[in-house]
Amino acid sequence: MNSNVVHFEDLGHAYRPSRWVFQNYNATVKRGSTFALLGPNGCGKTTLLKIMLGALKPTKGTIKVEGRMAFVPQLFHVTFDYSVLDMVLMGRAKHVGVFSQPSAADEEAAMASLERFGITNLAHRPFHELSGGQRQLVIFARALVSEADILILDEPTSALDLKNQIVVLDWITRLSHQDGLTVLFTTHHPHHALAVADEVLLMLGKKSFAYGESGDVLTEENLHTLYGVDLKLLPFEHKGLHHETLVPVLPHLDREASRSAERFKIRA
Amino acid sequence: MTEATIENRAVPTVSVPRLRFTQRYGWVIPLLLGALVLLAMLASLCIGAYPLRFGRAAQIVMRLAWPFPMPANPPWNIKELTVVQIIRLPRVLLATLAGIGLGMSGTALQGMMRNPLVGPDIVGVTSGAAFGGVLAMLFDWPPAGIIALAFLGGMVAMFCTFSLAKLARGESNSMILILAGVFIGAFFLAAAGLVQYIAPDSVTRTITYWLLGTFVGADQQKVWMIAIPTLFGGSMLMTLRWRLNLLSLGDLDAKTLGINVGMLRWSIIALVSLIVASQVAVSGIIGWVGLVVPHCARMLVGPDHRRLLPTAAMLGGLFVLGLDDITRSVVKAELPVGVLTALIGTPVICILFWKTQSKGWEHE
Amino acid sequence: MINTNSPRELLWLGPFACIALVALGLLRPLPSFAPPARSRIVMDAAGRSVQIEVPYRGTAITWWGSFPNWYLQHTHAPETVLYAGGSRDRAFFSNNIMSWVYPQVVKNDRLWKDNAIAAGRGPYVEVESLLAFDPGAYIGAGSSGGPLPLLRRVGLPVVHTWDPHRKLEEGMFEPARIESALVGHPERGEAMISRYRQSFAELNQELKPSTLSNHPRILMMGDFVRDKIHLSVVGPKGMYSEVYYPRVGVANAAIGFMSTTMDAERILAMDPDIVFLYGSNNGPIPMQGPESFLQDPRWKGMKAVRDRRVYRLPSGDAPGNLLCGPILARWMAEIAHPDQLQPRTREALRKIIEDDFGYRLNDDQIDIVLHMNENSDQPGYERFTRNYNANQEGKPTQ
Repeated sequence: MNSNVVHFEDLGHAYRPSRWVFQNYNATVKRGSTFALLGPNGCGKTTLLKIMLGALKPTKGTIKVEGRMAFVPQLFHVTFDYSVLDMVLMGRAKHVGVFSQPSAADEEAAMASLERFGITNLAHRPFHELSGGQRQLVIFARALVSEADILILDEPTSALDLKNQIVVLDWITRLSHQDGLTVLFTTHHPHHALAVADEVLLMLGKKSFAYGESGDVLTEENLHTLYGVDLKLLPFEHKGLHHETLVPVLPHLDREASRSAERFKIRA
Repeated sequence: MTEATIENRAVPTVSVPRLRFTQRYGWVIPLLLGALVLLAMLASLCIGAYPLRFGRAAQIVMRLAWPFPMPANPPWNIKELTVVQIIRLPRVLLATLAGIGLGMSGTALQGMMRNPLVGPDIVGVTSGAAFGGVLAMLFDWPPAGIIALAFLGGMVAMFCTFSLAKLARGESNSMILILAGVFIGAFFLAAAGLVQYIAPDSVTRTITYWLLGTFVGADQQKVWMIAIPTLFGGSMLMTLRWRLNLLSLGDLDAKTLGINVGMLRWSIIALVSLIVASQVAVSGIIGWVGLVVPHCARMLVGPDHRRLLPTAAMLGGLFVLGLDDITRSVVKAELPVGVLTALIGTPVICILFWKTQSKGWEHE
Repeated sequence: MINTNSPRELLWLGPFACIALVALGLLRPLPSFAPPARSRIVMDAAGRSVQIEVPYRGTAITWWGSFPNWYLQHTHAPETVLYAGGSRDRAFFSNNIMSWVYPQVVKNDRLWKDNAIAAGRGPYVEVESLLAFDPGAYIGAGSSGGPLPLLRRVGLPVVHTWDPHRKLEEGMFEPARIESALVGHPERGEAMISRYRQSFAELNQELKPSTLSNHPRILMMGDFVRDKIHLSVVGPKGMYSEVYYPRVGVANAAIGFMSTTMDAERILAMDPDIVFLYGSNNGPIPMQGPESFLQDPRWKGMKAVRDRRVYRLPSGDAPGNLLCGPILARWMAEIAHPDQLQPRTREALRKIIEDDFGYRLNDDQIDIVLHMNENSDQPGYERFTRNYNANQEGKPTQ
């Protein structure tokens, strides 16, 4: 079994001739790892995702994907008020014949998936009544029930409140470590990537990118190039383990030195 | 604290998922409606100028349907048999099949286009089929030819609608798709009017009456013209009904879930076009059924197409059959059924629209 | 490919299968009525030999409008009418001479039922109500529409009395022959036809149309009261233009116009010498009469309006009328060529009805037929007044 599930070489895409979104990207995603994709809006994150999912053919380069993929989109808009169970059941599409309806086994698999995420009590609620975090979990359940090997998430935390962000990030690591899934997600939050991802791809520009282990790639210089803001890498200890996180430095803080001194003096 | 209260406190609240009534018993509703449709058909046979009792009508129909020879000395007289076999039964079958076809087409289109505000008449299929049918009548083609040309007209209209929407970069935007459908529909309707204008007088009269939507003149041939495509196309749609759920999620989503979106979409369009073409070819333009019936069905059994499609089919059959019964009995001059469906459909859709807008369909 | 997981999935198949079975049941051969034990054969206009049961049970008339009128003229047998039409037909019928001769037909409610001939409800509704009667024959026009083909297919006695392909006068003679044969008196039909021919021969002798130098141009038209836009005119084809006008020595002002639906401009362009208006003021479809026509600003420029030569046609739906056709022709001739003819229309009308039906029309009734109230002011109409001949000094009355 190949340990690489996604591999692309010299990948590039242009929606219109000579209007490249990105060019010459190389990267490899290993089986069972967590992979983060960072970049500002409009740099082609969604394009790259679509290429990986097979919804778009790249203009240049090759991409190889081994294994079944499941997709968790960023915005979830359903016209009709399906129940949660119906939504999860839809993940079984690959297992149900074209002219058949889902069987009892499919329904059981759906319930089992809901149980995995601890949301069986929501099974018969209408999907649109759920909060953002709950919806995200339901879509996770749907991705899981399709027995996919690779989970691709488009900005899974951007619409969530703090608690749900943590829940989702926690699940990402659990799925990767406990269930052995390969998880690939895009995000705007470098500290999430740092906390959760094994490897990171920074989409720095049309032709430049940085790829490698998260600790190596998420440096202050790279992030400054990527976002144009200052970020400080802060190590800290928690329960005897060493962690690192990234904190943005607000530009005006230098000028308002006296004010910030006041604020932090009170705390100290 | 007394023991009693301690005990009360100690009883845990079990979180058992509570099913909506429609979820637990939802499968019963299509079954009931199916039986109701068959009963309604029998009852409709009793409506008309010639007096016929329900029991007698049921007797005759059962013996007609039972694939063995008719009894030599039947309890009914030959006039009753004539009235049932030649006059009323074809019309009842025609109306029911039209309703079933329109109900299913509307549901499939709404699911596929992710918008509850569409129906075959809004999206352009009906007008395209009408144009095709009218053209075939002008060339004096046989019935199979009329359906074929109507089917082609419907497909061309849908293709134009989707192409127009694509030009406006709105293939996934349902509002643009609907607008495109309205424009294309209007165009084909005007084209049908043109054909009517240039047709010789004898053909014109047939065309005019027919364009208003009517079941007058139902005979065995027309029943077969609508039965075969509707029952066949309908059965195919039924087998695909769970996939409609997937299609209603969105293109990218559906694709990543593992279905061939393009193929499924065009298969559904072809089936809908076939069903609508056969309906338009035998009874003209009947609008609003494909819009209103899926709504009511959704209110009854929820949006899951596994239950929704059969429910909409049966409800559609009941609706159109009921309206045709009204035109046959109450109204003095024969009112085209298309007029009635519009008169009833428009206020119903307004009420449904306002009611659900206050609850909210679109959740984004 | 299709695996069924539970029978619930296939519940929809139930109603579908039932409907399919019932539709298949339609394929069975049509029910058919047994032929009568004793019968006679009547040839209908489509060339079919129809078996009519003897003794004859009566006729159900299934065409809208004039048929009851003509049927009674041809057969002289009001007792054979089982069904004559709807309420609109009854209103039409009441304006006709036959309703005076046979008042029992007008009064009998059972003969006039609206269900059967509700125009526009389609042939199949009509069949249902027609089945409720049990006539010896259903008669009607010979076209492919209507309830008759269906009734014939199940073996009921259907007699087409008129074929649209018959030309002109043959199309008038045929119903007379068929209907009188139907009631068992074919000689009545023949008698009417020969009297018709004789009346025209007499008119021809008196008028000598071939020798006339002046052929006034006639416009025969209908102006609907409720619809001011569409006017219908009698065109160059048909009984009037091709048969009557030559015999009466007039020409059709509408020659050269192919359509029979006109607009006002084209009518003005025709500029006829005389205008005949058909229809009547009361009745289901009111049509303009001479009085409002003469006041109508559209027609002020017309020569006929300036000369006030606008007349309402006599009632009685001629010319498709074997009985009164010659009377109508005489009436037209007397208006167009007053010097050539004696004023004898009233007498001719009275004589025909009296000879044929034994009914003497009184002066009031003849006034109604000739629309005296509408036409009396127009030039030349004095000759049609009731005591005209008696009042003429020195002129012999005949």
